[in-house]
Amino acid sequence: MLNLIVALAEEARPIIHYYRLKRMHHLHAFPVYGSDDIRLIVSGIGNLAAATATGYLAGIGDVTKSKAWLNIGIAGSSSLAVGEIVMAHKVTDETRQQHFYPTLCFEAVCKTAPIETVAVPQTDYVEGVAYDMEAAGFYSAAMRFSTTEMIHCLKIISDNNAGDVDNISAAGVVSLVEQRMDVISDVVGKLLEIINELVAENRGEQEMDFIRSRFYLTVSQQTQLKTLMQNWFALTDVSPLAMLNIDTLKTSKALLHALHVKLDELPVKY
Amino acid sequence: MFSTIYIEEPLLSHPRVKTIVARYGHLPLVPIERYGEIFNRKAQNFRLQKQAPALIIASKQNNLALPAPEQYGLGGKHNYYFSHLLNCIYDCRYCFLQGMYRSAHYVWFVNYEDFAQAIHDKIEQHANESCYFYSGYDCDSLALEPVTQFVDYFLPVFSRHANAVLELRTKSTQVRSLMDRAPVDNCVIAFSFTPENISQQLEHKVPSNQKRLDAMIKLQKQGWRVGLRFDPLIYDDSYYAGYQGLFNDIFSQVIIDQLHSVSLGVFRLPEPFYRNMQRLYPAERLFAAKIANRDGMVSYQADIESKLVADCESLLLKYIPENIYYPCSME
Repeated sequence: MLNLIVALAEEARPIIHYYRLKRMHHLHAFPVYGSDDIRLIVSGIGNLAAATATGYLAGIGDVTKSKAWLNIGIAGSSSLAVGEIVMAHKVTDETRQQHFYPTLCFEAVCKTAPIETVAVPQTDYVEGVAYDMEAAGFYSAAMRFSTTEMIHCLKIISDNNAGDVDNISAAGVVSLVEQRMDVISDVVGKLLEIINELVAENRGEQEMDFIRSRFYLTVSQQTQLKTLMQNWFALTDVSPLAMLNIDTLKTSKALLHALHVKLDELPVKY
Repeated sequence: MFSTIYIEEPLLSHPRVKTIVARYGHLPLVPIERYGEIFNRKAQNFRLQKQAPALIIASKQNNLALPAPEQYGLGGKHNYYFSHLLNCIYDCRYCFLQGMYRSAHYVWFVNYEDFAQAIHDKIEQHANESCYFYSGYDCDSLALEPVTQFVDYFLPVFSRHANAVLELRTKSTQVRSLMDRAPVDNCVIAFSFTPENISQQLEHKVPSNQKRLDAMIKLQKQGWRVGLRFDPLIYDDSYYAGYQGLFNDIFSQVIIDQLHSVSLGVFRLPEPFYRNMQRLYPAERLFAAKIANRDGMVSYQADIESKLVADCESLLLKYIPENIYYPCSME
């Protein structure tokens, strides 16, 4: 599952439209939209809102399946052009002076820049830095649920001098995001690809479900079973259920022992 | 080659760093305080980082030359290792680095002068006794030579100390900087090999056996001392034929009586490393079969391991004299 955290409804609208996300009306704390593999939450402005929304999204789903996190929004900068989109290679929480370093595990599809998250809208910009109000809160929260390779921030420059920050209209924000959907969809695509690669390796779910329906397994036994299944399918594509006579096994202990024995008999070939 | 370059701020004007920055200026260059804030942080995925590792440029402050693990010796009285680089451009599935480190990024310690001083101090401490220094413990000694110019700096250091030996351990063919200079007598370039079918499955991004052999033979012919490392030995159902073929191939090409040393090593990992690696690669057959945990060390089941070692040793000794053979320790 790819989780998108967006501060403003205007930032969210083009993304919702592009991915045909449906409103999840049963969720009331935040507006949440979803599809089979993407969820988007509109957090509101600010670090605390972004962190809370990130935690909320993690809490409402299966955390083991929430693999990637992407914060998308607008930012200000003195040196970057309006409309330019950047990916964060560093996120700084200006208030707490805390730094995060997203790890790029795919080729960057746009320029990268440091992002500084400020508590109030900033107009005194340092060259080369993009300023926002959510990235640090989002990143800090998301690190509890995933790894730095799967947590990223994309910011579209909406203003680059003191005057512009007051003149950003709702329609202007929508337009900025729409124009950068090419890069956004590229990054989303790459993250989904990585998620799918990781998920494809977890085999044996069907077999485990079947075994769990037939045997009572302690927590420790369930862990052992999961490891045995992983090891089994690393060596062969043939299901262990095809090689075990389950009906002759009376206990979970006997089952695990039988799996161990059969596993040891499997050929090892490179 | 790198996704990003992180640089410890005090090193921004270091000459080695300036060269790299000039060469890779198109990459994101990110100043940091200490390398640990990137390399040692939690919530990292080694496997994903391997797809696009970053370069972290740092200065090593402590423990520049450490005693080598006991089973890592080649007959020297004192054995040390030093790591100018952490992590490797290759991606060998059996490698302990992916179990030990949280990050797959390369950490390049550019303060070579401090390493040289530490090495000098160790040599002086053991005046007149043989000291071996292994440079390929945390990395491949040669693979990143075009970036690090490690050989260029350290060979002259060792050429000044006749009782010290430098081992370069590699799976690369980056031997140009060695071919461009006269052989240094107390430098051994050790090449690691596994049977080709296993190499293709487990040693990702590594040049083929033949390309490495070619590089090794070129060095031998120029007068460099070379060694062979069959480490770790990898089990599969046809291992005997695999290693028989490998040894036959290698020893029909290298100049045997000019070999410095040949060693075998067992596949062995501390349990926490093994668990990390299995978590990263749940579909990897290397971690799935014939594995046992003995006193916190994960290796092949005892009967498998001892037969594998005995058979490979027996095959090996058909080709080489015992005096250059360094058996692996199974303890």
